[in-house]
Amino acid sequence: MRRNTAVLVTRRVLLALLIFCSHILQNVLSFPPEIFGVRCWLLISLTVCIGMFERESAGLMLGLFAGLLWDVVSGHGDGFNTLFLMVIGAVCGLLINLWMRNNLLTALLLSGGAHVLYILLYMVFFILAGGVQDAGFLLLRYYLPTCLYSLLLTPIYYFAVRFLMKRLQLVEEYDAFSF
Amino acid sequence: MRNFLKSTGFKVFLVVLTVLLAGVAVAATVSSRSSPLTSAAGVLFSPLQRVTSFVTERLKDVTGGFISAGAYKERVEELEREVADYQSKLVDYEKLKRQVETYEKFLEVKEKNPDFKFVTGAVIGRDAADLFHSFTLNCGSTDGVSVNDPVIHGEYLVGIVSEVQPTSCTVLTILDPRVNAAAYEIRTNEMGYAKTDTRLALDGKLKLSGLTRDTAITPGGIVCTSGVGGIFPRGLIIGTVTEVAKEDGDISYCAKIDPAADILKIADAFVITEFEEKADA
Repeated sequence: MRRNTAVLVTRRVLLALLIFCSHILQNVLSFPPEIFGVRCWLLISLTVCIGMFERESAGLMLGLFAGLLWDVVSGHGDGFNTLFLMVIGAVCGLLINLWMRNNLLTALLLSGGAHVLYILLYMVFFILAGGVQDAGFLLLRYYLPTCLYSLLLTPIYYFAVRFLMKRLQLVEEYDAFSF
Repeated sequence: MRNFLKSTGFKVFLVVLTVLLAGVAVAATVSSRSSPLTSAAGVLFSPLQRVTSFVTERLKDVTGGFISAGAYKERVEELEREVADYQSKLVDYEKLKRQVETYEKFLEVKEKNPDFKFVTGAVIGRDAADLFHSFTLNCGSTDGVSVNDPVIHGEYLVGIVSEVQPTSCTVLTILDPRVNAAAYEIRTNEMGYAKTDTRLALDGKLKLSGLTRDTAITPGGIVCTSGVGGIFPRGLIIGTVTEVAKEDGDISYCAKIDPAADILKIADAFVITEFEEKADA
């Protein structure tokens, strides 16, 4: 029991560290570099993968952490990123629990869906509502390519989180009286 | 004894001794101080001497190599330490140089505008989702920063504070379509407002709008803030005119501007928390 708790804590601390490093890469160092002005978002893919492996509760909490970090540097605060990533983390966990299989294809589907949803919400709340013109141009020229660019890195996160989960697996506890 | 004196060995010994003594006597009279015997031996053994000297030289080299290896290692380590030290000093020097340049510009601005009050801040993050390059500075309300404070780099306008937290603030840059500033061109004194639109912003440019058809502004002109409206103080440089063109769907003209500040590379900036026009506004 104690070992399981230690493993769980270690795993989640490592995932939080991974989120922090990804935040630094994405929002401080602007890494991976822009390609024709198109950027890459790391935190959405990572939150999706964490939600898929850690399921809804931990996905929600770690999504909250990732969103908070993003909101700290965001010019459009109001907790948009926090709310979004929190919900995404929880929903991905629930979907894997109830309907979907946990594999790379699912990760790509969920990550793609999450990115498209983020872009749509972002455009509605901050581009259209902010009175910025040429929203269609922005969507086609920048936001959709950003979604594709970010999707390319989803497998890396998927395998990284899976590796972590395998290395820090919980030990099954059997009931002695069930035999 | 008698037998010994008559023996062949003794005779040989006598001959050798005589030859040696004769050699010594000759050597004493010759300037080279070397007896003919020694010379003869030297000639005879010179190939061997060469071999010996060659082997000795080689061995000396080998021994020298063995001896020096440790010394060389130490020397290399010492040099590596020195290089690391110099590199670290170089990094510090570059940092200080940049800092000094920033402060020199800051001093220039301060001398020109004694009414300005500044807060300095370093860029600690850039929102990856924002295409218009907004960024976060590590100074906030506890430092006296408030919303709508202008942000400059040297004497160049960078943007405006849009959100303030206790220890940080978010800056919308002049490349954001939501930011505009009353401005004028310094040679012609023509007034307008500097702003950008989506396409221009993505090219890293903005424009001075509201110009008439007979505008005298030409490429190369410098555009500064006019101070009208009380948000930005007068005289902050926005950029240089690159082109004068007719506005789309409008009869007015505009001057396209290349911003003076390299917004993507800014590492630190100054927030102007107080200035005269602001106090009057």
